[in-house]
Amino acid sequence: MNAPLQRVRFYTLYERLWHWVQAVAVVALAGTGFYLSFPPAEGGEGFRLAVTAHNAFAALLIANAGLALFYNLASGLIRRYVPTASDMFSQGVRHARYYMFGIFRGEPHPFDRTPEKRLLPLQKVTYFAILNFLLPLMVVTGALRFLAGHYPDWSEALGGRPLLATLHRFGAWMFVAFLVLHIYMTTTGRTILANMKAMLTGYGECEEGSQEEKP
Amino acid sequence: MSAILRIFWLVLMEGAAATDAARPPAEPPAITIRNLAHPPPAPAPVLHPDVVLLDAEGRVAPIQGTPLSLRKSCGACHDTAFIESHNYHAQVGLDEQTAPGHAASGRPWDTGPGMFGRFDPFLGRVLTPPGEQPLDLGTADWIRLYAPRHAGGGPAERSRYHGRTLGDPPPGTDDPDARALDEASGSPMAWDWKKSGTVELNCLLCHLRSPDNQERIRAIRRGDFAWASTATLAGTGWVTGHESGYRWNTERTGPDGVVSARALGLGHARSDNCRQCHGRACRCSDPVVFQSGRDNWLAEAGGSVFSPGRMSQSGMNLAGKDSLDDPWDVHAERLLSCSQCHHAPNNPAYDRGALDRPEVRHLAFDARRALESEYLFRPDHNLAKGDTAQGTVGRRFAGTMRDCRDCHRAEETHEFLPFARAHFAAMECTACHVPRLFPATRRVTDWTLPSQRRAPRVENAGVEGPVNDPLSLLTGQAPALLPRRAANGTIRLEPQLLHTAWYWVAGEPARPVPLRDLERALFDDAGYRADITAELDRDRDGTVSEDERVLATGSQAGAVARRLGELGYRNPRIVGEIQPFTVSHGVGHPDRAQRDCAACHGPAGRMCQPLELAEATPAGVRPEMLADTGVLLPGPVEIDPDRSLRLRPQRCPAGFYVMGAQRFHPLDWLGLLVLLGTLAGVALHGGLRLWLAVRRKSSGGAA
Repeated sequence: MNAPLQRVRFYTLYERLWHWVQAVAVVALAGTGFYLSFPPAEGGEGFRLAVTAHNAFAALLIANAGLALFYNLASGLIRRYVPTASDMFSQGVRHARYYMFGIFRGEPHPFDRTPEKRLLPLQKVTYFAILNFLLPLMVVTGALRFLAGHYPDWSEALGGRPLLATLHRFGAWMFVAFLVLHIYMTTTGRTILANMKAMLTGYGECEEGSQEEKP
Repeated sequence: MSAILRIFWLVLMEGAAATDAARPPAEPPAITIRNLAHPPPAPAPVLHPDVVLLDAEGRVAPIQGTPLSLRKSCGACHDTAFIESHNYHAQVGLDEQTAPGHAASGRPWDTGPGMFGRFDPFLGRVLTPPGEQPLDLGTADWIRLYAPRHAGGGPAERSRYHGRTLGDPPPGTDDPDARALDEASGSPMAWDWKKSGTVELNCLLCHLRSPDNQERIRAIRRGDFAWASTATLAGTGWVTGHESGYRWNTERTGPDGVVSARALGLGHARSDNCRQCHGRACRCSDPVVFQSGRDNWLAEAGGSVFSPGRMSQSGMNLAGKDSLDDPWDVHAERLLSCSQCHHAPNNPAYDRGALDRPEVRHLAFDARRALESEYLFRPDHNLAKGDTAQGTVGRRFAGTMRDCRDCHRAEETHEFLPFARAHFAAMECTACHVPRLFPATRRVTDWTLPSQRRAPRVENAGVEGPVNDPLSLLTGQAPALLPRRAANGTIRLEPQLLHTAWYWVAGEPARPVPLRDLERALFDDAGYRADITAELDRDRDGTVSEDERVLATGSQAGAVARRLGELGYRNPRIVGEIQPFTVSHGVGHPDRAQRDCAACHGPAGRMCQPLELAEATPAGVRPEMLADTGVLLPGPVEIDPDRSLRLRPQRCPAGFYVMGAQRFHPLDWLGLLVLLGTLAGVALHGGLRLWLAVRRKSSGGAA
C-alpha cells in the first residue's frame, strides 16, 4: 500500500519564473527560426521583424541561462544537475524499463520525486546533455553568426557561416524534439497534469517520508 | 572586455532595428540639380598656357602643313612617353601579351587580357596570334577596327613583335606587322606603314572640350594613321579635311605657330570626353535618347547610362516611365564626373598614398604627395579603376579607385538593415542600389550562323520587341546576383549581366574560324547555299527566315561543319562562352534601392531563381564561363527541352549563407528525422498508455 501523500513545495518562484521565461524564449526562437529558415515567398516586413525578435529572444534566453547558472552555482544546487554513474547505468536502466514496460502495466513509478531529488535519473542525463552540449552549441553558433559582420575571423575560424548556420539549424531540430519529449514527459507524473501544475503553482505531492528511492 | 561590451551594444542596436524599420526612408540630401536655385557656375577659366602645334620633326605643323604630333607638342611640357607607357587605355593589353594558350581568359587563341589580343565575341574577331594563318586581324586591321574605342598609342604605335615603332623592324628582318587583310576581297595584303604612319596617343581626345572624334575615326579607318591627331581638330576649325589628308587653317595660327589653349579648349578630361568611347548614351542633358550598339557599348553590354537626366524625362520608351522620377545615375546627378572616381593615381587631390604597405601601417593619412608641377609633368594615366568581371586589362590596378564605402558612411544610413555589416561584407552596394537596369542589353551573340550582312543572331534582355525600335518597350531587368572572386581574393555577391556567345573554332590548338571563311562556307551568290538551306528551311518556303537562323540540331551544325571542312578547316566545332559584365553604374536614389528582404531571403529570391541565358542553344553546345572573370556560377547551366539555356542556381553558392534561401542540408534531414521519430514515439507511447488506461478502467482496474 502506498504511503499517504503530502503537499510540498517543489519549485521556488524564481525557479518557476526562470523555467517559463526559458520556455517562452525557446518556443519563440523555434518559431522565428523556422520562419527565417523557410520564409514565405511574398515579401513585407515579416522577415525583418523575425530577425529582430529572434535576436531579442536569444538575448533573453542567454541572460536567463546566465542568471540561472549563477543562482545554481552560488546556492550549490548545481549538483542536482550532475548525473552520477548509477544515474546513467543501473538507475537509468531501471528508469527506462519503467517507461518501456512498467508504465503500461500500471506499475508504481520506481522513483518518487521530492523537492530535494526532483530530477529523475534519465532527466539528469538528458538535462546534462542539453545544458552542456546542445545549449552551448546553439549559443555559440548563434552568437558567431550574429557577430559575423563585426568579427568575421571568429566565424571563419570555426568553419564559416554556412557551417555554423547548418549546425545551428541541426541544434534547433534537436531542441524542438527535446521540447516535444519534455512536454510529453510531464504527463507521466502522478497524474497527467501533476507536473505541469507543480511548475505553475510551485507545489506538488509526494509520499510522506519518501526521501529515498523505492526498493 | 571591450568585445563583450561591444556585443552587448550590438544586441541593443539590433533590437532597435525594428523601430527604425517602421520609420519612413530618409529624404535624400537636398543638394541636387533640380533643387539648385541657380544654374551651375560657368566652367573655370582655362589655365593651360598657349601651345605650339608641332609635327613629328619638331617643326610648326600648321606652317609645314604636316600632321600634328602630340608626342612632340604636348611633350614640350609633359612626359608623353611616361604618359603613354603608364596608360592601360593606350596599352589595351600590349604590355600584357602572352603566348597563345597562356592568356588568363582560358581561350587558346587569346594573346592578352585587353582589346589587343583578346577575342571580341561582340565583333567575332580576334587579333591573329603571331605567325599564324589564316589572318583574321593584323595589327593595321586591328587599329582600324578598334578606332572608335582606342585612343592611340600602345599597339597603334609600337609592334607587339619587336617593341619598336610599327613599320620599323630591326634591320635585316621582314616586317611581321605588314600582314593585313583587304576587307573587301578577304585577301592578305601588305600594309605600308611608311605611308600610313602610326596612331600616337591622342591627348586631344580626352583633353579637348570639343574633339572631332568622328573625323578622327574616319582618318584611321581610311588608313591615315599619322593624321588621326590632326583630324581630331577638324571640328574646331583649325584644320579642314582634304582629299590627301588635312589642311591647316593657317589664318588662325600666328607665324610662330602659337595657338591659344582657350581657343583650342584644352583642359581637364570631362565626362563627355570619356563618353566618346565608353558610351554616348551618357549625355548630360535631357532628353536622354540612345540606341544599343557599338558606340554605346557600356549600355549595350553593362546596362550603364551615366547620365544625370531623369528617366521619366528621357526619350526612351520605358515601362512605367511616369513613375521613374530618378536619374539614370545618381552620381551623375550629384555632379560627379568620371575622372573624379577614375582619377590619375598620383593626382595630389586624390592620391591616398600607399597606406596598404606594412611599413606605414601606423599611418591613417600620408601627407606626402606629388607637387602639382611633378604631377602635371608625369601624370600617371593608369587611371584608378574598379574591380569588375569585364575589366581584365590592367588587372593589377583593379580596385585602385575608391569604392562606395570610401565616400559613404553606410553604417549611418542602414539602421533599418539587420546584420548590416554582414551584408556589407558579403555584397557589393550595387546589389541593392541597382535593383533594375533599363537599357536593353546584349544577352546572346551567336556567330554560328551569321546573316548575309555579317550579322550574328542576337538576343537582347530588358526589351519587348526589336531592340532600338522606338516602339519597343524597355521593360528593364534585374541583374543576376552572382558571387565573384575579386582581385584581392575576397568573394562577394555582385550584380552581373551575362553575355553568352557561340562561334566556330577549328584545328588543334583551336582557333576561331574567321568570319569571311564562314561566309564562304555558308553563302553563294544567291544567299545561303542549297545544302545549308535544305537543312535550315523548316517551313519549306525555300528561304532561311530569321526564326530559322539558328543551328538547332546536330545535323544542321554538321552541314556547316562539312562546308568548313571542305575549305580546309580540320575538326570544326562550335564553342560557347559566358562573359559577365559587372554592374557598377546606374545607381538610383536611395529610396529606389532594394529594401525587401524577400528579394533575396526566400524561395522566390534572386539567389534561387533560374536565369534564362538564351532562348536558343546552337547545336546543344553548353557554354562555359571565361576563366578570368572571377565569377563563380552558383549552379549548372542546363539546356531545357525547348532548347533554351538556363542557369539553375544551387542555394547558398560558394560559401555564402543566405538565410531563407539555403539548401536542405543532410543534417536538416537528420534533424527532421529525429523530430518525426520523437513525435511518432510520443504518439505511440501516449496512445498505448491511453488505450491501456481505458482498458483498465473498463475492466474495473484489473487489467
